[in-house]
Amino acid sequence: MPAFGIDLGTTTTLIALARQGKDPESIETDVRNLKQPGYEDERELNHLPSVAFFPDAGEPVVGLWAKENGPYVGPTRCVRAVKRLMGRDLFLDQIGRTPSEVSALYLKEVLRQVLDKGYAMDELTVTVPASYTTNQRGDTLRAIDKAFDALEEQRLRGEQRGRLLISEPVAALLAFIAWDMLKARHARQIDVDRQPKILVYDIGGGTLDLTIVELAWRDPHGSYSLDNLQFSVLAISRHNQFGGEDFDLRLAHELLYPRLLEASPDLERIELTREERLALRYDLINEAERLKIELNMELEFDEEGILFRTRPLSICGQEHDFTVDLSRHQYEELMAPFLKEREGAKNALWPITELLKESGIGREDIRYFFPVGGMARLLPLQEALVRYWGGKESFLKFPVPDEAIAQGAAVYSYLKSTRQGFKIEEPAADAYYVRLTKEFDLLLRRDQQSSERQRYILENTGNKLLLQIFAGADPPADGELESIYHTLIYQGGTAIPLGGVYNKGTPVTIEMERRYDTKVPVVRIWIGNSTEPVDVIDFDELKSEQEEARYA
Amino acid sequence: MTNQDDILARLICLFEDYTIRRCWPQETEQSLTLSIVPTLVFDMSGEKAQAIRVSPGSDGRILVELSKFEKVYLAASMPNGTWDEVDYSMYLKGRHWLLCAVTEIPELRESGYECIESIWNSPPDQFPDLLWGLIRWQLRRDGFQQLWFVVSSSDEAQMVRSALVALTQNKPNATGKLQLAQVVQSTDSLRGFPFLDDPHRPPEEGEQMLLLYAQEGYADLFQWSQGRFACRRLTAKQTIDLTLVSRLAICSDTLDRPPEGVLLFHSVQDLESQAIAHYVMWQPVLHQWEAERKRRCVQQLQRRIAQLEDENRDIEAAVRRSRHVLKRLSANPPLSTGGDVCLHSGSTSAPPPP
Repeated sequence: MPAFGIDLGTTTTLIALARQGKDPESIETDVRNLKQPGYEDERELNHLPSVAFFPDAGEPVVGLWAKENGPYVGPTRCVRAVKRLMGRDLFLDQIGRTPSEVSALYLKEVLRQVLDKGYAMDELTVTVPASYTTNQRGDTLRAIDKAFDALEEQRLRGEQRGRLLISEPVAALLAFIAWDMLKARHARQIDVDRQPKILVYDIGGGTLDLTIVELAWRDPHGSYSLDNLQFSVLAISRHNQFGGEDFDLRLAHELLYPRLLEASPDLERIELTREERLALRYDLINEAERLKIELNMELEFDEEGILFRTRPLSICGQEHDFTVDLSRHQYEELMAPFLKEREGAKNALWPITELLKESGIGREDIRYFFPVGGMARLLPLQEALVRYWGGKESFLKFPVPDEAIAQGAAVYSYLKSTRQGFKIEEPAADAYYVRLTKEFDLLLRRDQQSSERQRYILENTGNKLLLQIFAGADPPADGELESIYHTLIYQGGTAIPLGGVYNKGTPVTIEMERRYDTKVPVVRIWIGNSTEPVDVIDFDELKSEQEEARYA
Repeated sequence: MTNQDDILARLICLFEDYTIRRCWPQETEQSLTLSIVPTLVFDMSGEKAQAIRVSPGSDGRILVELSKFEKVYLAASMPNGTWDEVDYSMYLKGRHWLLCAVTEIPELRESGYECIESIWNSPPDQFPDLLWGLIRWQLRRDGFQQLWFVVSSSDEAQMVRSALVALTQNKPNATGKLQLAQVVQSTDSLRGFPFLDDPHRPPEEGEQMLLLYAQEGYADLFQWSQGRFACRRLTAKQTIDLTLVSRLAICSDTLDRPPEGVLLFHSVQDLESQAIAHYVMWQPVLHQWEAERKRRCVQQLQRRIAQLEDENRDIEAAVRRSRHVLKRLSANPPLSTGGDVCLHSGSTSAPPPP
């Protein structure tokens, strides 16, 4: 029976199946082509665009139709990139749904198409970013359950229905290894005998996820098979909300919009409604994506650049189109903020530097660099990575990088259902850690209600306290604290306002306590000798963007 | 599992019990060896073109993968995605021909682009550029050393051969890494070739192999004879002797784990890409093998002729000696030693009565 895996991406959703290959040991994977709801014709793509449109009446439409037509029909009822909103328990007023409910629609559609073809399904794995928080993972599981319920399939009922989560970089690596193992030994790219450390650079539509994985044989004299392979996740990057959408947005805002105004100066004098502004924005982003794809193709063969003509954009009932003459140099200048290493959240290279620094793993210790995800094809990004890494000899190359994650998820499902005891050592959110400086200072294990109180002394005068909270399956062992970067509960750390200015040397006491109704902890902070905490941070209640902004 | 699968499973068990030979003769007439280097095969023998990557697989087998045509490859007005196969339609964008779907052509023409609905119908001087538009992305991306084209007619083969010559002259940088570019014409028995995906089990003369199409409800019977597959399609009313069949392959989307020794293809497309890849890999080897077999036959015949000639020479010498003796005897008849001796010298006259 084939096993299934879904890559629930920011911009695309893919479903793959895995089953036994020609030999009992080998695994074959296949990403299924998907019909696009809303279109009469039989067009099939290897993915479903993660875009949903909610008409005033009737069922929502997901996929290509929503992506191409939603912005025209009702831009405020068109939703994209909800993955970035998962875990926040937001309610999207304009469509009356939560991000998790929207994700469930994508899952339901791809599952329905597979089930319609007569496949049975025991085990399903859905991928999540490695740095997804407990809440985000929980939201993803809820989305799967909603999709299962909505399908009303007998085959998906009951307690036994398997649903697993796996980190996207780990899934991609699993797909790569399954594929590599199909080859003759001399043609394989990975040499497991040398216990290699691999940096997986996963850049998709909306997330840049880095993970360092070490591979080794469980039994050095055992078989050359996935069963015998031990995956150890050594380090996970912070959550980087950076991906293809950012390239598209930059092209749309910095290039296409100014050129549109140059071509149609009257537009500046027209007052657009909110809906019209949204429609124009979506249109420009879609055109930017096309431009990005064409640029990639042209630059592969020509150094000169591109003359790009947009499709007619409908604005206030009038059609506008224009051309963009863009040289390679101009393009590189435009993308430079992303591709030249500099500190910041929106950068393609900085997260690598940061991860290596924080994990204490040297560049020379990384044997392979594995770029994966849809954006890994982008030529300027490839060139920037090769420059940064100092050559591409250690680069692992997967034939279709944007399908690797879905394939890996299917392989994981297959291994879980066919090989008893197969597991990947990947941290999951069952314990929590607070980090103030370089250590995990407080630990709240899953069997504990509260952590010990820790007392610190402020090193600087200030009105904020930097704090990070992590989650993981197992508490870090002594001496391993620095090498384990578990799932971040609160991305990139939190600056906690202390409600006043406190001088250097002021004592600070912190305690973590488990909430009675959820797994997510509450952190209490006392300053000086106060009896009442100056701040209580309930991470389960950081729900809205307004609240998030308070701590930003 | 459906009823069809149940029937299929029972058939496989039956087949497996009675006919699959698990041990093959250790010594065959001649061992066949494949030397696989990463190869890109363009299958242009069908209604749509496919690109197939071929590389060395584990256990000496052939690893076959479809190389997808990515969205960057296609008309930008088409929806994003990847394709396993593409139309032969193209449009001229800037200096390059790009792939597009036939259905896109009216819109592209309206936008002022030059379009070709099928590259096979293009003017000869344009064909090399169109072929380049079809292959350039995959060729560049994966750095293949060998390139094969499988076509359906000798005219198409000639077109591709000429285009390859033009491309190597016009684009030496792009095609310089290629060690080999070959064109082959597909045969009717192409689907038999995946049966050869076992380096330890070369085919035997006269061996029969069965390919079941589970969903479609028919089967192909292949017989290996003198380096070729003879193929016969079987329908429901025809019967065959399963005990004569020594290899089985099944084309089924819903069967997951084939019994040991049974080849499984998940779809006809999967089967066809495997067939093309194995055809391209095996065809030169088999060709060489067949040529070697014929050379040995000729050698044997030549040895036999030489032997016969030697024997003939001995006979002729004996005849010559006999004639010589006869001549001498005719000139000087021997004295009687008690009985009459009659000698014939080839005379047509009747022998004297006893």
